[in-house]
Amino acid sequence: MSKVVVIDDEPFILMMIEDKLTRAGINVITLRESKDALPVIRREMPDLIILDWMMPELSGIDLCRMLKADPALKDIPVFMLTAKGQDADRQLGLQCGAAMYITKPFSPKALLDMVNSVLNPE
Amino acid sequence: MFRNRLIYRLFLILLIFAVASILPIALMIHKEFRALVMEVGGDLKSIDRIIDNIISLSFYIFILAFLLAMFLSRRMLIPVKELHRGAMSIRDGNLDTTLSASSHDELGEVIEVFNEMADSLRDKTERLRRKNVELTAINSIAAILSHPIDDKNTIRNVVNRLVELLDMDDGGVFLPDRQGKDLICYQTDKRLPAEGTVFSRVIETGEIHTCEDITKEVIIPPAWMKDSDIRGCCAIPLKGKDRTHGVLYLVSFRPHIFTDEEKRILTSVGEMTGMALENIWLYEEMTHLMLTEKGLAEAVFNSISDGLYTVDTNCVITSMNRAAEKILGIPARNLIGKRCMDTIEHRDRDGDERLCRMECPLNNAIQASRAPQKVKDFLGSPVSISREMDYIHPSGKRILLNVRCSPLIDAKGLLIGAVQVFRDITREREIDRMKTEFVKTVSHEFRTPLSAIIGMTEMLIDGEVDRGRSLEYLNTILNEGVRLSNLVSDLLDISRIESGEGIFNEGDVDFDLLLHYIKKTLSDIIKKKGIRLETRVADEVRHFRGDKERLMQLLMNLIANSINYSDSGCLINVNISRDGEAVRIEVSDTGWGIPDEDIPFLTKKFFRGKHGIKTKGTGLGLSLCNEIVQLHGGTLDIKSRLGSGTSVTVQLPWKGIYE
Repeated sequence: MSKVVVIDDEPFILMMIEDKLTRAGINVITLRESKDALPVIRREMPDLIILDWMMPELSGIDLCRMLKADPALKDIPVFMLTAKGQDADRQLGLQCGAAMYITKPFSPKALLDMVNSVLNPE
Repeated sequence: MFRNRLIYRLFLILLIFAVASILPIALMIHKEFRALVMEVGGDLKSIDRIIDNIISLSFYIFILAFLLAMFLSRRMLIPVKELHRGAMSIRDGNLDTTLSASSHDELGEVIEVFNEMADSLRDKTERLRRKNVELTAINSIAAILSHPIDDKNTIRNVVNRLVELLDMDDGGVFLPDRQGKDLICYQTDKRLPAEGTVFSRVIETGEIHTCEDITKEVIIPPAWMKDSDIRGCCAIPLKGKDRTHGVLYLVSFRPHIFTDEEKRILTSVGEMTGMALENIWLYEEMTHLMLTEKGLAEAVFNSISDGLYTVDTNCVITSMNRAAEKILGIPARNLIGKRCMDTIEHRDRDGDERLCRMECPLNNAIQASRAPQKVKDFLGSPVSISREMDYIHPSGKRILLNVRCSPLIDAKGLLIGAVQVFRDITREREIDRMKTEFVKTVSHEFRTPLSAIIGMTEMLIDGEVDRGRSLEYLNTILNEGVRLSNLVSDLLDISRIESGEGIFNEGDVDFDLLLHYIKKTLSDIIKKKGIRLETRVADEVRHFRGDKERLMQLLMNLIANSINYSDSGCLINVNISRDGEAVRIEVSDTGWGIPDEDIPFLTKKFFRGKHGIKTKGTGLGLSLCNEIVQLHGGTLDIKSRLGSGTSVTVQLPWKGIYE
């Protein structure tokens, strides 16, 4: 069973993604505080991480850089799910190692498709 | 005849001397004759008597001749002396010398000729004197006319001088009015009909008119002249190049005989004054025209809001308008005459490379205009170069300029330099940047609630939500919809207040009630972050009148900011009190604090300071607060220390319920 960690400070985003992915048979772990994420990720070693960008104290992009800098975690694909929709933001997000850059508002159905495409490449 | 008589007298004198010379001859003959008689033995006594008689006679004749010669000589010296005296007198400047002719001989004739010569000299000297007076008079008038101040003063000076020179009593000038109906006195604005008087006739004919006594001559003087004690008068045409501009008159309360010299003086002065007036008017017209054109050009030059300066082909600044001085922060006097590259520090945009020569658009414009015609045809005409570049202001501030340079071509098509027009676009760029930031921020703020609305609706429609969960979904959709609506409202509120369209709904403000509602609204986040929110409302402010909806927004935003920009467990104090003639609202917290460099910009729309990176917001909250405070006529002051907390103090002028 695939495991996905979702980090966003908006509870309804977490609720929505959790509901959608859980229905698809994915184990979803949700976090509202990015600063608490690293130990959880190290412990859970998820197949995919979905990150919001704008979060207090530790931004999603910084967390993404930290993940990619960690040899044990760098191979975990990261989806940036953010309201920052500028081209420059997208470029920066991808440069930091994000596998997908998804801008809000998003379709849960499309998100699930993207998650599946990463978790089940065949 | 006289000549003959003079010769005769001279002959007589010579005869006397001849006779006088007989005596020695007679003595010599007597001696020789006596010797001869003695040889022949004749009567010596008779001989001696004869000789003695001859000698006596000769002696008497000699005495007589001598006396006669003396008399004649003296008579001849008298006119010579007279002539000498007359000549000496004339030499001494006494031209009135007249010699009396004591004889009618040649000397008498010489004296008469001398007298005629003296008369002629006297007459010529008198004429010369009169001419000199005339020329001096004309010269003194010419001196007045050669330094004209203005037409009125010139006329007054000329008239005064003429009155003085001709010993008249008064004078003036009449000029035709624009319609040609009347003659107007230049000094007194007195009006005369343009026709029917001696003045109008003088203007028509261009001939001087003099009148010894107006009571005795058949002329038509102006009525005011007839009714006065004026006797002598003259009217002189003021002749210009093509026409007579007016008439100068002089009057005397005594009869005045105008001599020919005076008439000549007056005629000359009339012509000189006419020409001088024409020149003055022409000069004034030209000056006015030039001033008007120059003034207009200068006004336009200085009214242009863009900075503008011109350089010659060596890039030496030749002129500069006020906007240029203001933008560059350097007075024109410090720049004109200097090369622009030596005084105006342009830098590449956002770079440190100083623009000069190769990159200088002014120089490029000059060089481009020197390019071969084919190149210019290719580039199009006129060659104009535009670019954006930085300018280092004397204050050290870096400002962004939009610069356009064009070559300056004179009427003959020669390149005489270049003109640079520039505009400070720092503020525009800042506004652009803020707009972009706003769009980014607003779109970001819109995207998050839209995620709930779109995503959750999709899942509800797809039937992927359990019945029990669906209510939570719908509530979230509703809340996020409200959040969107509030965001739009904030934007509209600011826009409305700024544009002056906002309605001030004055009413009783119950701060306790407002704070109660705010606490309730923010209770979740307060609880979650463990915030301690302490409020105190003084009794004295309970009857304050203001726009409670706006004040609610104000307090909500200030308290929400304290919550958002602080860590868990933060203490927030809200203290509302009466401070003299004002209500003092103080919201302080022990949160993150604000960097000093951010504080001046906090009330600017869409500004998100250092903490904007890690918190969500539109950058509109404090801007809206500031607008609300200003709507109430109050002030907003923010004090903060990074790491210690922030205190926002609002002072609203007191307006009580019973006032």
